Amino acid sequence: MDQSSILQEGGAITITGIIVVFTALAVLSLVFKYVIPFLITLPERFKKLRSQEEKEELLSKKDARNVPGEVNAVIAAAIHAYLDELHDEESTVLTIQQQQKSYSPWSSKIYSTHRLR
Amino acid sequence: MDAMKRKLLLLFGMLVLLAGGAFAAAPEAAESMGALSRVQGGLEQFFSATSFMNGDFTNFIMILVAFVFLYLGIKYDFEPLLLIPIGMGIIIGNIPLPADNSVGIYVENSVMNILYQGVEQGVYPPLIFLGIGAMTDFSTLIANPKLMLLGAAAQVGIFATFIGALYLGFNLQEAGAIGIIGGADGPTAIFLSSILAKDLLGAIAIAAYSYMALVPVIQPPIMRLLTNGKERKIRMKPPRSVSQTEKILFPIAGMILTLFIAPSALPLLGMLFFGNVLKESTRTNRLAETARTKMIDIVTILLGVTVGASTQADHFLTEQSLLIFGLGAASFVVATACGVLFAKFMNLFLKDENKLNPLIGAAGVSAVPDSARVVQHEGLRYDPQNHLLMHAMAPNVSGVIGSAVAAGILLSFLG
Repeated sequence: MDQSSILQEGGAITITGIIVVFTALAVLSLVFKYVIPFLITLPERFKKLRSQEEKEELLSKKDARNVPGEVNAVIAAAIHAYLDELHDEESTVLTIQQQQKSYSPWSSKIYSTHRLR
Repeated sequence: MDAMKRKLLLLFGMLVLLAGGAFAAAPEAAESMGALSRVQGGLEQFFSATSFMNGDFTNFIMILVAFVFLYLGIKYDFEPLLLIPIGMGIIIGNIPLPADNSVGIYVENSVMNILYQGVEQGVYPPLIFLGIGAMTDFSTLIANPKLMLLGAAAQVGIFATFIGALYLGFNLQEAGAIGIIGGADGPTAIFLSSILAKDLLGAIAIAAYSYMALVPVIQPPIMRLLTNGKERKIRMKPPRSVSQTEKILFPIAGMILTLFIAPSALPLLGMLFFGNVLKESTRTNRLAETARTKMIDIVTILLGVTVGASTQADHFLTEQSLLIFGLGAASFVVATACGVLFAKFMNLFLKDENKLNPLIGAAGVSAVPDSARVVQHEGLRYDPQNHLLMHAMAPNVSGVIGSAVAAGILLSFLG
């Protein structure tokens, strides 16, 4: 191989070499500038996203429960009326069983109707 | 040198004759003469095996080079963990040995040769990378990933040196191995040259480690030349804190991405990121502790001393080595310049509050953490409150990744 072809090959190696060295370190640089920070914050992002979704879900549930004031007023009035109309519950059981009563002169018929003195 | 040998032999002969004369005066002269000649033969054999008789001035030159390494390491604290083992290794490797010795580093199955296999077969560099991974904190890089590009820019030094070596007449494989000196990463240089150009391994390793040690001398003038006072005073935003999850993900994602692009860098990058996972997972502290302390220390000792010992004068003191040293120096200059200039280029696209201090581009050459320290030192010179060390560590560690990727590319083309 003569000197000029050696120099040509050397030139090709040089250019390739410089490009590859720059590429390798530039790729590493970009990976650590963008990809790695993104990957590291990924679980946090997921967490944040999930909590955001949960928040939204909660809000949507709240929205569902959020009824207008007039309706609330009507419901309140209905409940009030219903509760006001209620009577005390009484026992409505009728019985024919003889009730045992212990004697007491205070409630004795004899003293109240036959012996007036 | 031959004249010196002749003189030594003559001196030795005279001593033997004098001793022989004393023996001849005794009554049992004839018997003594026989024993004497055997002693003389033994001594001659012994002398011929000493380094004095086998030495060459080149060995002494290399021993002087070792003194320089030791001096720089001990006196100036320039990379002492590398320069001192290498310096002592150079002395070990340059003790002159007879031709039929069985202990030299290049003698098959000698003890030194067996230890040297770790270098020659590329075993030590990945183990060093494992240790580096277990001690490196990639936080600043994760916090500001665009700084990785500075680590890529500084690798232009590798390819510029590669082209330079081709112009100087080295073949493609040799030029690839020499080019990697520009990555300022000793283990990577050894790893690549052990595969591409074994003969040049010693020179390349010595050049790489020498210039890494000289980073505080080489880089500042270039940094000052390419920046103005206003740029040197730019204060950068402090890096954000990085989560443990990011720290664990970085080596895993980094390994997959870089190795899918440059799979030939597997032994280096695989071990680097593996070491980092051991550290960051926090579940394997024992393993990480071993990798970043005892293991890397042991491997550094073996690597340093054997690389040093591989620089035997007859292998090392060649014209090629001188060229390699020249190219190595140029590669550090180009790499530093490219890092600084690329930081200035990036500033064109950045908002005022995000501007980079271009000095940190110089840390894109690996040489961890010396080049980052140099940046910090230079920053403080122009603004005593401007601490750039943390910012500079980002391109510094990305330079390690970048140089390993570059080595992988060269290996895939030339291996």
